[in-house]
Amino acid sequence: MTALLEARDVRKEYVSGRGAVTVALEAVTLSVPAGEFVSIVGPSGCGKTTLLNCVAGLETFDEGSLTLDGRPITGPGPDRAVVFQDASLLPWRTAFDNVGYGMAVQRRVPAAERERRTRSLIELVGLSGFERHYPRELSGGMRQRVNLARALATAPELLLMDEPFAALDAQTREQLQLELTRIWQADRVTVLFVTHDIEEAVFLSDRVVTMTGRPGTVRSVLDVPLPRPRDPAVKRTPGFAALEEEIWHQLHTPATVS
Amino acid sequence: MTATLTRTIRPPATIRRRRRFRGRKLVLGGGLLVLLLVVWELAARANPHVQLLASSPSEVAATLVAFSGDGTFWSVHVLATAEGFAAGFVVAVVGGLGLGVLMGWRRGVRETLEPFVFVVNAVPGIALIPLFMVWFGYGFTYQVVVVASWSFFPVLLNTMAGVRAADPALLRMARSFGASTKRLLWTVALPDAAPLVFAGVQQALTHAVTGIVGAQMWASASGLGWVIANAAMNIQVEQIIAATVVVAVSGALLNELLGAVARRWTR
Amino acid sequence: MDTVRLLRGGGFLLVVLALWELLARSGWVDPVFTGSPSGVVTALGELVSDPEFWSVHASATAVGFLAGWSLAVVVGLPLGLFMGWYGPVRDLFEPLVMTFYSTPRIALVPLFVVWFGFGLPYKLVVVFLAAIFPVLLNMMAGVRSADAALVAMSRSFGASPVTVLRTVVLPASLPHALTGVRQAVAHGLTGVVVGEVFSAGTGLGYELNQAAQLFRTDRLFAIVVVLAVAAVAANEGMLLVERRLTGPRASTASRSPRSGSAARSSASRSA
Repeated sequence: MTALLEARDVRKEYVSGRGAVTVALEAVTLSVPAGEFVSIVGPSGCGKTTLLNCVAGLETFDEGSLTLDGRPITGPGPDRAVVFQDASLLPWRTAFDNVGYGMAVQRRVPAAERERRTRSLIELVGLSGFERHYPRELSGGMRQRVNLARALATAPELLLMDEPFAALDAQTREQLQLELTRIWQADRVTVLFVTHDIEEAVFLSDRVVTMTGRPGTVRSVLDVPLPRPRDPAVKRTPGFAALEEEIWHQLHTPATVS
Repeated sequence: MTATLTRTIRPPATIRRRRRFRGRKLVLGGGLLVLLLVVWELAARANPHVQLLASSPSEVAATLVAFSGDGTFWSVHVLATAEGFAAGFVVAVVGGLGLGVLMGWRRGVRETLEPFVFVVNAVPGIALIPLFMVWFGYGFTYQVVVVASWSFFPVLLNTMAGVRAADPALLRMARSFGASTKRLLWTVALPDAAPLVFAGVQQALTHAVTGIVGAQMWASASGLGWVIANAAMNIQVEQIIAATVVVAVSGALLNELLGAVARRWTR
Repeated sequence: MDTVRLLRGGGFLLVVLALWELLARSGWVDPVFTGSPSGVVTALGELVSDPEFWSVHASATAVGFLAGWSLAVVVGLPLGLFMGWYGPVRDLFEPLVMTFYSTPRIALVPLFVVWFGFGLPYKLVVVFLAAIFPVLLNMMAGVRSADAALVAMSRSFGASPVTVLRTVVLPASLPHALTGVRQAVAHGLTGVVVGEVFSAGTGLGYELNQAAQLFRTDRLFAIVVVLAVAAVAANEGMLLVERRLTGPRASTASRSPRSGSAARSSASRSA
């Protein structure tokens, strides 16, 4: 499988007003094969969100290279879409219009097609009947579904997700994890998923990247050979637990000097 | 064993659930207004001094009727007031919005212009009337400039504040789809700032009404402000009050209209 | 305040002043019309050193302002309290208050001249009517903003209405009250100048009028500067008091002397 996203030795530093330098990302190297679901797990402040922002083109980096399908990433573009933790729905537009917002901004899809995609995605994310609702009339979980639908509507090559379920209650989170894996199974879009929740990462992904922070760097990459499609029951299998334990171990022990 | 610890505590007047009947404001407040009008009318009839100096509701009403039938009142005075008001108000809103967006969006522009805006805003508006009369004379331009200068700042300051405070999460989301600056402003920043912008425009409306009246009272040959100033010179109190009523009612109506538009356009 | 910001803002001001000065000296326009920074500075110097300016005009304005403003505070705060607290009182007075609030008080100035002449009583009335509304409306909003949960808590301990007022409502409304009193300063200053501009006699407004009639633009600007400085100083002074008295709680309205957030929000339906 060809690598869709390639990061090589990416380094990013922040310089504060007083000249103090913080290294957010150091020698980050990873590749995301096309059609795979890859998670990045790490504690808060390890740089995973920064890395995601760089891939999204919302932040610049200082050294190294980031390419998507061979093309260097220089800014936001229609080949990527982001699902943020904050649903960021325009409060003055209906769910329907919000789903269409990304496409409208990018202006690459004609109106009729936009309408068609919006309708089918609303159904896909399970929001049929709520098209005319405003964000304030929707629950947190429903807003995240709109968020996801909006991102998928632009038909990106790479879907970026930044802890999308972290702000939801446990039950909604589980429900949405299930929905996400079901949706992904049908579509197989390449996903880069950031989370601090190990169980979530193992359940959803084909591959888990662990990152440690200060400075942010890739600790290890683990394959998740669990069968697809994934069922919630898999969470209680010994294989699952072993993966979780290995990841936890990776996150909590220092890397041996090579 | 259980001594009666309870005594009947009478709830204080303020939480007694007295049924607040919906028309209470109308009855009490309206009643007070009617009462004051009646007292005024009676005082005027009892004492000719009062009639002379303060007019009376009946005389004011008669004057209003006379005004409404008087063609010149409408075609000359009301028109002059409306024109000056409208022109100045539109200039102020358009200018205030434009500059407010610019200053709210770009830090460089804001930092450069902010002290200047602060200085000009600190000048009490009334001082601008004589100044502008010196610069622009007595005509239409002078009136428009006075009205615009009085109503410009609420729009500018509120728009600037609103755009500055635009939800950063929404902006980031739009940027992630590659939105251009124009799109960001038009589809996110301005709608998000709408409540503040409308508040500014409403304040501007009030200032504009006062401005046109003040400008016309000071130096003009026509308009409702002139009517008031002229009536004052001839001690025709009923005209002063009647013209003031016309201005106040129009202002209130416009404000209601603006409020309705604001409610429709903001969520 | 970092250097870049200072340079940008200060630089722009200086550029404007320089252009103004150049325009006045260029000969394209009559400097008597435009005034000039140097002319204004000179006029300002004359004003400041003129004892009559201070003892007659400035003091007349100050006295007129203080009289009207203090009356507005003394009347507005208790009235705002009662109107905020007691629904019936509010329903009784609110239409009357809003009627006056929505009339352009500038139109009533000639009427007041007819009734009161040009002296202190006239100025007091004009300033009072200008300054009462921020005080009243902000205080009302402040009282109504008292957290209902806290009021309920207080009552649950059997507190009398007076105690509830004293221990919960008044402290809660303090920031609003101070904001209203501060905004009343700006409104009152404008009021006294408006009153003086439209009358004969003494005061800074009257001097403004005179300077305009005589086309002494530099002197006009100088008086404007005095007024602006007074307004800003008063506003900043009151902000300091406000911050001192309300401690870590942020002040409820903007720093601008003229914007009345509470006044507007409760008077949104009238001009």
